[in-house]
Amino acid sequence: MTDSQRDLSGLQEFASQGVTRRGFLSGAMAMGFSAAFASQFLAACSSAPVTPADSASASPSAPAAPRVGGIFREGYDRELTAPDPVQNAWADPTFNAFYEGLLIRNPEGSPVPMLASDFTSGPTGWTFTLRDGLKFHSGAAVTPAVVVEDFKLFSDPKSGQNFPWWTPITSIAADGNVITCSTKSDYRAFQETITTEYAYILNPAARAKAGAEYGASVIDGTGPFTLDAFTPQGCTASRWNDYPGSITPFFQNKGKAYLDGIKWVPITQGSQRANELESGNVDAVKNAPPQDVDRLKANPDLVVVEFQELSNFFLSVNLGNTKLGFDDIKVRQAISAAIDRQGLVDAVYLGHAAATYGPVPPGFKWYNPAVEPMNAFDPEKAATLLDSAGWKLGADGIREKNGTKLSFTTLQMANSTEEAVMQAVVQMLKKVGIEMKVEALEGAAFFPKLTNTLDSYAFKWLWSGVVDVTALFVQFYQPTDAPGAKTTLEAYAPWEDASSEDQLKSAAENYQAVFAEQLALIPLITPNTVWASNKSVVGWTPNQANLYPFYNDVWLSV
Amino acid sequence: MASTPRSGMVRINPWILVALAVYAVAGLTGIVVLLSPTMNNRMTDTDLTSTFLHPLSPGHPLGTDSLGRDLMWRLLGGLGVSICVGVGVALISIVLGLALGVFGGFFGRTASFATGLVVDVTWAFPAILLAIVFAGWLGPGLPAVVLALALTGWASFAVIVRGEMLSLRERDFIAAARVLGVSRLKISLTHLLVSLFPVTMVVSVFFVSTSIVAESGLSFLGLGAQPPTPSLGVILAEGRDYLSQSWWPVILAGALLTGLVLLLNALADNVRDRFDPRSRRLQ
Amino acid sequence: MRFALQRLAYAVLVLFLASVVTFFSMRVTPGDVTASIVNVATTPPEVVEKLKEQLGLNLPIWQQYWNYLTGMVTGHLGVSLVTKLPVTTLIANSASYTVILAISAFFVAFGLGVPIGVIAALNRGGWFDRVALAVASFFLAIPNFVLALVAVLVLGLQLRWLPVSGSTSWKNLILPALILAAEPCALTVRVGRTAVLEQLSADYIRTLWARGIRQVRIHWIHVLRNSLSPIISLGSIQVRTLLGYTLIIEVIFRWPGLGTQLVNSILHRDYPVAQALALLLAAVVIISSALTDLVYRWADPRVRLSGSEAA
Repeated sequence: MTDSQRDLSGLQEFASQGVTRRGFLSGAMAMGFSAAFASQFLAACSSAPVTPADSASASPSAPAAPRVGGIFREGYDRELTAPDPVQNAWADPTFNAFYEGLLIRNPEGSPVPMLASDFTSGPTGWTFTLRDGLKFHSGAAVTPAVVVEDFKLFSDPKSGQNFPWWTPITSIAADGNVITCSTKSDYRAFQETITTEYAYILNPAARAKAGAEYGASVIDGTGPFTLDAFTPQGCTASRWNDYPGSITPFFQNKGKAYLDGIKWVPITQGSQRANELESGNVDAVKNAPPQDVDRLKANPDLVVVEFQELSNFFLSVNLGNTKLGFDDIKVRQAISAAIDRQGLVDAVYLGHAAATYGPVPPGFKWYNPAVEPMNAFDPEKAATLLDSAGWKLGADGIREKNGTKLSFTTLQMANSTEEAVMQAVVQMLKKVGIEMKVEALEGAAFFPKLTNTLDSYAFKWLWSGVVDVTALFVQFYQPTDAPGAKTTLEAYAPWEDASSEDQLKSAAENYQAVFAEQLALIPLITPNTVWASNKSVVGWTPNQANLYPFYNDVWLSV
Repeated sequence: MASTPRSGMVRINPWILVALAVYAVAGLTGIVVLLSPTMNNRMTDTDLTSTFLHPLSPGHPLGTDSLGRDLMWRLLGGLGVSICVGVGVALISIVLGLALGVFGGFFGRTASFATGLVVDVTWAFPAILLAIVFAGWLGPGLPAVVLALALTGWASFAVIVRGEMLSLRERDFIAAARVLGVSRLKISLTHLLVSLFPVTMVVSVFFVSTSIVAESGLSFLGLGAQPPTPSLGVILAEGRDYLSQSWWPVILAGALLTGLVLLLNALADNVRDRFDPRSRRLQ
Repeated sequence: MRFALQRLAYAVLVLFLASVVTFFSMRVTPGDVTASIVNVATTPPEVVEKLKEQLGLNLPIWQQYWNYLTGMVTGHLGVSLVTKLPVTTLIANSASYTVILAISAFFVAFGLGVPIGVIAALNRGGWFDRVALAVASFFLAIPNFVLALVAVLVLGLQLRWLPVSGSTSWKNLILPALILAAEPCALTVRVGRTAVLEQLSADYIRTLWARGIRQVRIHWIHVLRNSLSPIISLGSIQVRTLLGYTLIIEVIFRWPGLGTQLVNSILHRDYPVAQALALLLAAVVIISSALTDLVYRWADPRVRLSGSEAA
């Protein structure tokens, strides 16, 4: 606990003894705190001290009958991207309003029916039984042929961005209202792909007709809402009154949506998110920053849910770079060992995050704790590894080998929290003699530079298929002939070949162990995701299995 | 805030000079430490166990920021960067403005027209817009900021210089000197520089002040100094994210910046009063 | 009349050059609009290329400029590459926000600044005058983003009086408008005060007084009327700096006006929007400067203008 935290808790006790405001202020002055600080503290404090990383504060008792009506304003922590399941820059909460998938994950993580009433998975592939009478927003029918067309779009390398995970599918066909995806052997891991945003069903004809405009000015899905208007700075949707209803077991509302409409409000400046919720600009907000979380939890008008995000912020060094020694596993392990992940969690995230030592977040159901000692914070080990790899400390404090300094630039996306993390990492690496410079770029400038020859970059992935996504980054942004990449991808293969839950589990565990050793990506932090809403919002239930909440059950009690 | 005129001469308020000296020393210290490879780690060393320390904490007279970096050294460094950029941009603007103003004023109507045109086109774009574009072009950082500020700063000065040059060209004493064989350009330049001296002084001080503010603003928006280089704008931006947690980085950096601008504005007022008796009467 | 035509023709020339600047400065900026549309991470390059084709980005640059120029002139401002909405729609959506902000700030600046300046002048040397000057100096010195942060800290976070961002209700307008108005208000106080002081020492005041007109009437009607001219000319000079400030304030407070629109479009490399808005901005400055020149010329034919002195 830092000095300030100790002082704070002392102050908290003082405050909780029911001292009057004036008494508190004079007491605070006596303790050496300025009036400004003390009054700020008072505002943040309620009667009881709050502990960090609380999970859900008391949920309000839900009133009896859902009210139909109202526009739900949801604050979001990024700018929006045009929702198109085939090609899209970043999956946003908008997907869950406009689209549905054949299957979806329930809060426990198991696939359940959504557009498909039934499904099977076996050694010859997957089958899905499509519900009857479904239609798109435009009125076009959702037929098995349409689904097949969608699947072909998803699986075609020329069109679908998720195609790598469709490669085991050898053929797609429809027979009656059953769609069959054939495989040569069991492909249990397909459930990770088929239940995600990038497998949601859309009208391919509408997409083809709209061309580059699809997603921004035209959306034709089956979800409970239709598109009103889209810009990256705001999107609005209205209830689709012809919604046929849902059979998804964990949805309480099996019929039309209660809300009249939804408005997504991107609030990219973190320090504004909590305030906009508190002042009533929005009804709910995602990812209020760590320093505001406790204050929000203490607010009796708000409901705050916090759990581990399905994401990971990592640092990548190019496995094919021989000049800087990144091809040497010792160098990568040294970089990893030099980083005090828990220190980052405590300082930058104020405890609202988890250190990650392996490719998947520690909350994953098949998390392998063996990765932790492999990448534990050990600056001496880092120094030893670098020395043994031939990188000796130079006179200026930077290591060098064969006349080359261990100095490089890493690119990251502009995001104040992530930039703070990288600044701290820069200093940690400096202590072991590695000079890293960071360049923060906005998306349009960052992504075009992301290639498999880039020296180094740092990025946060957000995706519900946590095992799949890291393999994807290795496949696309590392030279796949580099030994480190090859070993990692070879360890991924059993996951795709798994035919039972047990096989999935052991494949995942083995993949994590290999990954944590090879460090094709150097994992750093998995932040907690914080979902805060006004207590008048009912039925908005983010869960740990899906990226975003669903809107079918949401209603506003005032 | 000029002191009352005594026997027609206005002195520059000594308090202003003292305060400026203090800032100058602080800024210089900041620059020296920033550039020194052995000492600049005071500004960039993070200490994740001592984050958000209050001012007057042991070892950290002005506290620490969100990554545990010492605020006093960062503020000094930021001040140094601000002063460097401010003075640098002002110098470039003055030189560019002089050059183009002389060109426009001396070399005939086409040159005058062309200069006016370039000025007007430059004038149409606010500095921040150019800075965003340059930052996109060259990558964010101080070079982009200096470029953008210098390109927008010289315009107003160039116009003044050109006007003065134009009027000087036609004066009688020029003709007289010509008779003596001195080149017209040389005469004009000499007289130009002499007659422009008071205006240049006042304008320079204003330029420094506006450039410092502009650099901080651009750094605040993420376009200027890149971490870990401190800049008052960067400290403000970082402080903004944690405003509800620790207000002192913002207040301290803001006060430092405002104080400097106040001082420079007062100095400019003083200098103007010294050289331009007309405005004195009304203060 | 001839002068007016000349001046306007000159303005058109400047505008044309400005269009070259806006177009090419955006295009040479590295970065790609496709990254804002598709997942460049996993989208095959052929698809990205096809997208670029669809967006018209593969035409030769001169042709793109020509399309842009003709479009600007005919009012076909193009379509946003990211949202596929017509640029005119985007401008219409945001313009009202910027106008509301600017007008509110204007009213605060002049509505507060003029009376304070006048009263300060009338009480020259007194406590009101000294305080007003000191406060004006402070607000002239403090950079607007620092003022914004302090206001957010004190009024928004500590006292919780005001919301600090967004645009849902009129309350969201208060902070941005106040902060935008701060510097112009301070400047108006100073200039207004000086103008009134100049008027007060003029001869005609004594004449009016000798004629028995009450002092209050003299001050508030005659003096004020004659002081307005420098105040108004101050306003026109301020256009350019105010446009820059409005940009910053809108971005800081997440106010969905033209400034935020412009900055976002540049960051996204949404060329049609960025180029149109940048040119619009430049046009406002150029046209207001031309109008000021024309007004001066009309008001005082003795003023000779060579080229432009928009300084």
